[in-house]
Amino acid sequence: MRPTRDEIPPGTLDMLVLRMLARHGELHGFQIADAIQRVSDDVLRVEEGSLYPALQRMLVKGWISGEWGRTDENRRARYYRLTSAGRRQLEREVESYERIAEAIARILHPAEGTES
Amino acid sequence: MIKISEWWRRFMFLLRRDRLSAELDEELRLHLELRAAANRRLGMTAEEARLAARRTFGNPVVLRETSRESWGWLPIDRLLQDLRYGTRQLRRHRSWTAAVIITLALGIGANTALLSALNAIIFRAPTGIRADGLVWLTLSSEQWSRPRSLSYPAYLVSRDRRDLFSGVAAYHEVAIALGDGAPERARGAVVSANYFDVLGVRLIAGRSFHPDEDVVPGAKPVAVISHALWIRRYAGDPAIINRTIAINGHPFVVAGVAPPGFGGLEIDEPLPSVWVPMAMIGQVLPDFDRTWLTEPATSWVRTLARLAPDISIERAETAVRAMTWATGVAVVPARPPATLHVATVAGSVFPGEREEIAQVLGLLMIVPALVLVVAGANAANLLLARGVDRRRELALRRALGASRARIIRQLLVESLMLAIGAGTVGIVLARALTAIIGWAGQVPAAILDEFRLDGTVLAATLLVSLAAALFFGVVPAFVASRPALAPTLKEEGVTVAVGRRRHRLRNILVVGQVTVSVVLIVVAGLFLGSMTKALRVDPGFEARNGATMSFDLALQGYAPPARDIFIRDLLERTRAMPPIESSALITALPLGGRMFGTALVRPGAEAEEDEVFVFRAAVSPAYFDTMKIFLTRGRDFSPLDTRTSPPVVIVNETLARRLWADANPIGQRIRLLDPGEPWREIVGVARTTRYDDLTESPRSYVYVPLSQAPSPSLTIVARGRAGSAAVQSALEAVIRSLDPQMPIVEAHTFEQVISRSVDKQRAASALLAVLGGLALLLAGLGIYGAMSHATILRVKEIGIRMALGARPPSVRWLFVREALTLCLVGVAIGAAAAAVISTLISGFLFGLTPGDAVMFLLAAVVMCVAAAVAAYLPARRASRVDPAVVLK
Repeated sequence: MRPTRDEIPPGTLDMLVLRMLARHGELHGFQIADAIQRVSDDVLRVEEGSLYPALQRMLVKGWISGEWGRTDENRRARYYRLTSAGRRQLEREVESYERIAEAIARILHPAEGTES
Repeated sequence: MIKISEWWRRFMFLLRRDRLSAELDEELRLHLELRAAANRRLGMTAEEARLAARRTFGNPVVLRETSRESWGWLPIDRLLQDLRYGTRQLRRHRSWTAAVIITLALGIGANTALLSALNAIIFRAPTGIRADGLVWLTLSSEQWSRPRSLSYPAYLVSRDRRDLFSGVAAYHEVAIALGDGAPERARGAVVSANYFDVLGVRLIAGRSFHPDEDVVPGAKPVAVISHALWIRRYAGDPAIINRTIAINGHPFVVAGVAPPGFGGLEIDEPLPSVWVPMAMIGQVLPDFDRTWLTEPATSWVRTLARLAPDISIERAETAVRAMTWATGVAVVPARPPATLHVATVAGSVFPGEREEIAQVLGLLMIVPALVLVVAGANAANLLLARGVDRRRELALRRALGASRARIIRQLLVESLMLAIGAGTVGIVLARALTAIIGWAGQVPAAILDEFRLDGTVLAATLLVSLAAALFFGVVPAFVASRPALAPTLKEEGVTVAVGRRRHRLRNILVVGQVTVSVVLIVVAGLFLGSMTKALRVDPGFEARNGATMSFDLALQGYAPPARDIFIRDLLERTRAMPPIESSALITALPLGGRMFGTALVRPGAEAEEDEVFVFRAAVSPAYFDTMKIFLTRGRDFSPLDTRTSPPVVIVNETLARRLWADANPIGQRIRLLDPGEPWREIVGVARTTRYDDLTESPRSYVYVPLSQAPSPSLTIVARGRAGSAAVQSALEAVIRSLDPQMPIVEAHTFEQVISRSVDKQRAASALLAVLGGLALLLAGLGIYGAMSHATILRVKEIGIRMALGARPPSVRWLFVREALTLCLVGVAIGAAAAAVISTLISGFLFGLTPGDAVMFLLAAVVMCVAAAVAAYLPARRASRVDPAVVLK
């Protein structure tokens, strides 16, 4: 029953969700999933449902807040938005992500600037 | 780290989790619908779109679960779930549940009962006392086996150390006669005026003593009485204060009433019911002697001190050890060299006894601990048996996605519920057990009352229950959760091929159970045997048809010439009474609880190092005849040994052998180192008896004629032909006819004297008898349960054997033989272990040969009979049934 496709590392999902919310302001669950898949060109394929436990976790952490509203088709849906704590968290995560990515990049391409 | 705001949000989630769950469900539904709609737009059919949406979405049940997990309350949710499920399970199998709970409760109850006794005697501070900062002052020497009370001078010196102690109280317990007419015998204490204040005891009525009431000897006859006495003898009379009561025939005014349960600092029987100022000692203590107030070697003052603020025990200890002299007077004896010490107040015994009792009780704790092990093993067996029945249920749960850890946890929760149930029942049982032990050991109610439950004991019981739950729950849980899914789900019930491994485990359990049971029975039996032997020790005098009464002539104001007349009349009249054959007087009744120690010297060997320590008593003629103590050499005292005739003495065999080996001591001369004692000639040698304690090693003892060493405090001993009760009433009649006011301080038959001296041993042996019986019962039941279950599981095998032509008797014999083999293996291991243990503890057992084989044999027989019956009955049932039915 294990999915065979690439899974997103857990922390990364949080970061992506926060990023989407930061960009679009207010989204409901389906829109978030959709947005993530669009921007990542389906490279990162979410097991869509796993978005919801992540949202619950972030609600508890206070990074996002949820408000019930209506969709364009007039369906009840919960819209999430970033809180100020969430914004700080996003900055932290992006920063640490970049640090790690940079480090990984250095390991993979050690050529420039250093003698070997 | 989790912030407070997050905890708050979690808490809100917990409160609203029903609504949140519904909202989450709604979100998931919406997502699936929107995805399906999107899929349709990509050209799928409605059905395809729906299925594709589900596929990409994942398992909603798992998602819901993980979402809730993120709320942070999942462990509680699961625990509640386990509890609900467990309750349902336990309720469905009521009789099984009851069997486990009762088995365990017996084990836990036994431990709780003994723990509460242990707690009362050696841990908890005595009732009604503020114990923090309260310490005992004791006198000890390397040459004494236990610490002693202080001498009066030592008490005075410590009392004046205001720099160390904010208060120092003293007491001395005495036997008294209470009330007018026919007084009742009771226990009392002379105390310093500040006694109740230093101890922190709040009287419930009246007042404690004023300082000026403890100054002039005999001047202020006031008393504080116990709550129990107030209720019982004075019917709770609200006007008790200032009423006059008679103590040893003297009027005392009641000043106050002690709080309920307060009975001094030492658990003893009976508890003191009257306290009077120490200055009144001359009125209540018959043999009080003014030298007690100055002699540093006379230890009689129990002393308690409350440490001054910011004085540590260590500092107090250093300071009191240095107290040896005060203004030129020795306060501690020089020979043997002794020093003062500080000891905390813990438990209701004097410090030295505490260690002794703790050692004995600690050793006794082995027995209930083993009972608990057996009970736990029984419970484990029952759990294991049901684990086998439950394998299908558990396999099903695993197939539905429960992890093994989850199942083990669920089973442990069930064990825990059983343990808590067992703990609760165990506490109730502990009360019942305490009562049974109290009844069997004739333990006085006042002492039993002290063996109540308190926080400490309850906590200990809880711990014991939890430990038991782990002990009996873990292994069965692991075993039950182990089987592979497919075979278990496929098989209907248990077959022949269930596997050697399972059999092996059960065999090990049966053998283990037999082993522990054998050890338990043997150990309990050895203790019991040792106690019974101690009770049956020959005291050295004849116990039947005898009675004693103690009185004091000085208390009633008899002057020396009148005392002689009273004594003469008493002996003449008692001997004239038909039920009485002979009578005599003694100053210190053997096993009566009072011993007078002294030293003696021989001619030519009078240096200090030649002194011989002995105990002494003064007796009237015919004492040895009345007690039936055999004189091995020489003669008894006679009426011709008078104040003016040559001083004589009778020694016991132990002393004679010690000083003169096999030579004849008759005609030798000795001198006791008491004031005014002359050289005496030995005229007789008496057999050694037990003097202080039935299990003591032989003591050196000397008897002097009462006529040559008169004393007003006497005990009359009398022997008759008929029963001791007749002798006793005849004695009382004579004393009453001579002086109706004479307070009789103590009155016992010889049997009572002996049995009183072994009160504690008797209580302990009653305890062991009860626990031993319990152990036997549990062990038998446990073996039966394990064995019969093992046999039932093999019913199919029986069917096959029968189908192949085995005859019923041979099938039954096969099973009985297997059971007996297991049992004998267990007995062999158990016997070996028990032999080792009994050697280890033989030092604590009295009159024991570690080879005491009866117990081993009894244990083996009980185990084997239980095992054989347990195998035989199910095998017989199975072998009677048509094989076709069994195998279907």
